[in-house]
Amino acid sequence: MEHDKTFAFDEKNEKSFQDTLKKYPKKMAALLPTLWLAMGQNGYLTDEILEYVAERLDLSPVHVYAVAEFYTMFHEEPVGVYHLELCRNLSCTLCGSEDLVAHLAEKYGIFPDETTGDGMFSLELVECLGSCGTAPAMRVNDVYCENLTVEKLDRIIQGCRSGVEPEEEPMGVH
Amino acid sequence: MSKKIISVNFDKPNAHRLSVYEELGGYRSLTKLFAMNPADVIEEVKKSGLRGRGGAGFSAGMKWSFVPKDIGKPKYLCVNADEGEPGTFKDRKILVLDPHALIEGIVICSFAVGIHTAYVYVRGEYDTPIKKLQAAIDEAYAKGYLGSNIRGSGFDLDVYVHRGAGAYICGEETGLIESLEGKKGQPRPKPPYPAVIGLFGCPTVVNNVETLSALPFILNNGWEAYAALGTERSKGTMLFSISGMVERPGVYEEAFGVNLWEFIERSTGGVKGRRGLKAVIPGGSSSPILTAEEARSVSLDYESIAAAGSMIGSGAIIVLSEDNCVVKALQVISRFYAHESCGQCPPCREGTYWLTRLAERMEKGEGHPGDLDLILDICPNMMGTTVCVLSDAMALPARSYVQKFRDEFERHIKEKRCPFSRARNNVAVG
Amino acid sequence: MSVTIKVDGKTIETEAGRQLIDVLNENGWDTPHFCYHPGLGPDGNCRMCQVEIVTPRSPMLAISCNTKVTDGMEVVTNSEKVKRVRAAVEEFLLLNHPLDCPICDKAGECTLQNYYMRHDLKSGRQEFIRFKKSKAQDIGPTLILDQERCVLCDRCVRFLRNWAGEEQLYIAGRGHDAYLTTFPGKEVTSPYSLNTVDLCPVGALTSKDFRFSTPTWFLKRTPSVCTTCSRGCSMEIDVDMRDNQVKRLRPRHNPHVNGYWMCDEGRLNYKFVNTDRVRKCVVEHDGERFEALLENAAAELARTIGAGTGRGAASMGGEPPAKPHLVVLASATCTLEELYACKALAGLRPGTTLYVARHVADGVEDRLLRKSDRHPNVKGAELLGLRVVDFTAGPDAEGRLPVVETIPQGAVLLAVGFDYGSGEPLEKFFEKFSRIAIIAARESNLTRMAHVLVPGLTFAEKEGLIVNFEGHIQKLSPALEGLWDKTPPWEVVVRLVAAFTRETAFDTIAGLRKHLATREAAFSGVDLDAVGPTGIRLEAKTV
Repeated sequence: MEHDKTFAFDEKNEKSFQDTLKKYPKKMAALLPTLWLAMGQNGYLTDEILEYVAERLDLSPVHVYAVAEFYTMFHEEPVGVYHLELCRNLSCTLCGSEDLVAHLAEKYGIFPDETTGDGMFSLELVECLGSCGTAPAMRVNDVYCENLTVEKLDRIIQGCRSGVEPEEEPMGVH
Repeated sequence: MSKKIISVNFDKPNAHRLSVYEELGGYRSLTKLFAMNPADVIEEVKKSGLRGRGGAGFSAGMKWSFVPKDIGKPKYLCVNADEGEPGTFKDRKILVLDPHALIEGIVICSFAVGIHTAYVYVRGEYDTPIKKLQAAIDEAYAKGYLGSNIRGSGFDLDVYVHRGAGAYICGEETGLIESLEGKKGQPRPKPPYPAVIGLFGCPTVVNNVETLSALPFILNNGWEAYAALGTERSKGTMLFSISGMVERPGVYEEAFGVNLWEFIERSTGGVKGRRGLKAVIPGGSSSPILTAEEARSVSLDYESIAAAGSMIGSGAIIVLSEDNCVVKALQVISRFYAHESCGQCPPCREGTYWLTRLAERMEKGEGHPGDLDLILDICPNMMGTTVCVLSDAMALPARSYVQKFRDEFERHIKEKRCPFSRARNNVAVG
Repeated sequence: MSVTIKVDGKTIETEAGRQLIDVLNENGWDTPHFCYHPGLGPDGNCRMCQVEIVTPRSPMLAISCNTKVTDGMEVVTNSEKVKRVRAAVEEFLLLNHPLDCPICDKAGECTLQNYYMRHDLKSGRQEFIRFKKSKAQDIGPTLILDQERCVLCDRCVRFLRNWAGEEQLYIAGRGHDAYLTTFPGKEVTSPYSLNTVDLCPVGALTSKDFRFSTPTWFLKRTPSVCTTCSRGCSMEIDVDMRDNQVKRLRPRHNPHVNGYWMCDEGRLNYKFVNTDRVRKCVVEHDGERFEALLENAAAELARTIGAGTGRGAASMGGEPPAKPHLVVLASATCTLEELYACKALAGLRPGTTLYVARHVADGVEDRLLRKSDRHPNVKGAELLGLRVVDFTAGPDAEGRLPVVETIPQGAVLLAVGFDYGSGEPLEKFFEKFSRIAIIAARESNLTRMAHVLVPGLTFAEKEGLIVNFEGHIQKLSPALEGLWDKTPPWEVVVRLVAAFTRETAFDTIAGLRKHLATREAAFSGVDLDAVGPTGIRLEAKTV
């Protein structure tokens, strides 16, 4: 991930940004999409990036900052190469997600709200992912990993360690 | 036995592709639609009895009719695909397996109300649904089902996907609007209602994904066909997301009026491992809990569930077995509401935090004897006193857990541990 | 259109469309609120102003700040439910509120404290450790922020964004993690920043200037008017009763002039009241400066301007001097009464020229409250038909100062009210005079040039009228008890007038005002003695 000494959108993101602006009658409404673009380019949102976004959208920097802090998915700190978001809500807990949290800690040294020393994994315990029918569930970066068991979790982690992101299973009928 | 309206294409391979969708009869309703008077479309939907499937259950047609006719301002449709209510995962199915059904519904609603710009607000975590939906939208534009002069009708409509970023409160209609406008998703005091002053200060309809996806059926088959299903005041079908301790969790569509537990058993195979049933949460974590007896005797429709002291909500059914702990459930959901509270009003932001702390120590076996009455005293202070109902969504269930399963709570206090913890230890992980 | 509503059974008539909370507060139903402010409008987040509205089904709780009155509305404020809600909101706010009262500036004027006494009075039931956030955070040149005390009412955010036009504060984050903040590393620099301290219902935003200065219950508050520019914002002067020092100025609501706000510059312009004061009369003889009693100084003053024989001069020996030309230079910061007395003097004494001087450099003007003219009473001078001379620009290209060329040799100067803005142009002007008499409140390079010096009064100590740029007359009221012998400048000048005519009509300020109103066309028909707390607007034709 590039470091944001003086951040600016790359060519592709600049085009996306211009396309995004056309969708809304007011610039302010493009804030969330623009933050997504910025985070996609830099991996996380620094204060400089927030000021850059504010400038591009004619917003006050503190507005952009407050919004970035409001939404859970915007990272203000770097995350691991594989950012794990494990659901801790009701159905997943009923189906044993807490065992998985313990397993990640004991076997891999991956703890909630921490990034491993080698920068490979970070873990966040999140709220309902909309995957209750396939609980316990987890996101690995953008990918939904569902029907988790300890074994499946092991396979996912090993896969990540070999540089292979897990694949999302096709959605079932029910 | 179960009538499929929304999920009819779920098991059809590649129904998300426009060519397949058209073969299955997709977009057929538009021919009829554009020949109708928009006001008649609203009437049709009103008479069908279609109610909002996002959680509020308000008559869709009536909501549309609140939009002022000639106001000189553009009108907007916000499709609520934020699906954050714990236990709910049915809109995700529609977005991935049958996105064109949603698009068709969007066209129908927009034509009826006079809307030319629609935003689909999809929760940030739903990467695959967003991709699928956007691909379907692109296909629809290419084939002339969206854009200007749709299929020669003279009607223009643009549909944009707007990605959320992880906030349950953006599922609240004014929270969604605030978020779309580029602010924190903090709900607005009502009145004014979005139908009059909504997105960018303009009249706005906010509808759930499932609600809109029911519209093609109503247009194609007439309001009578839809109203023929269900009960007197709960017409049609709903996608029920069933999860928790059942054999085959999943989304199951059913017409209103069946027995709740019979429906659950029939669809999912009943309690996992044939364990005993303890409780059923009928409408997402925001709904008061039902005991096993109540679940076995109540009919699955808006009025009956309300009469039983709970609500249909988003149709998210969570089943607890005899091995599960209600106190644990309270700890988990209170933590959820505290995390998701937008923080505007004191009863919610402080109340959810307080209840979470109380539930946590209760679950760990460190509860004080006065905690239960304290919880029961805090809850009414959080009900009907806030900007939006997230506060009620915490307090109503919390009160029901303590009232209906008081013995479990008292055991935690007396035994100083969770009697249901499998590991028989007191560490609450995560 | 008027409507009738019922509150707790009592009937009230009011106008349609007004916010219920305003109607309640105006009619004796003190409705608690945090986030609402009449100058900002409703926000609806604090939930404290909820009352019950009777509906066909059952009474419904509604926030009175966002409920417009309609005909036949029935409101209940004294039910158990409303009492419970008020106590509940108060309890929720106190849950994580730090127990800072003993060290908090806001104590004594804190909404949270007041509402606890009025609506709660229960013991705390919260046993968990209170939420920690940052405290005593320096967020700009004027403000200190304590995030723990903040009740997240959003008033400061809305004020800076919607009124001051500079969005520099925002509530970031979510839920109980939410916190008030600036952008990291940025400051609140709005020239209206200190209004947020008034607005803050608790001690989250405190003024660096006032921090730890005085417990608020020692402050005596006097309504007055700001004299820093020609807007003349209504304000109050807060004086510590223990040491008789001015501790702060705060705006007063005046719908005709400044609404609810005032600028930081005006608000902070009070320190000179407490320091650098001219405390004694001074008379100069043969190069030496002597302290004098007021009687003697006044006599010397009279002698200087050639009024009567003057005992002082005779006792010193020598001839009474020929009447020199007198220039009376009054600052445009003088009150109407002071200016009028000067005008009377100039009219009665032959060989006298009266100028009103603009001498404080122009300041920033914006579209909110600040005017570039830093004198509160230029309009008053104009309405009295006086000639206003501008000293702010300094010498012109040829090195000439305004009006200097008209001063004859040996002229004497009577300068009234030059308490600030005593820059080089004025100095150079004063140097042209053979004898200088000054009535001034504050020590400066000018007072050091005086041959006769009489202490004057600052805005905080005098009674007087000023007219703002729009023709709005407002009244200054004295906020300080006299600690030293001082006489209002108008009175000192009036004594000089008496030396010429024995005119007794202005022995009192009321008499002077009456004299003024009957003789000055601009003020005809105006009862200058009845200028109330929000002033009187002169009719357009005279302005």
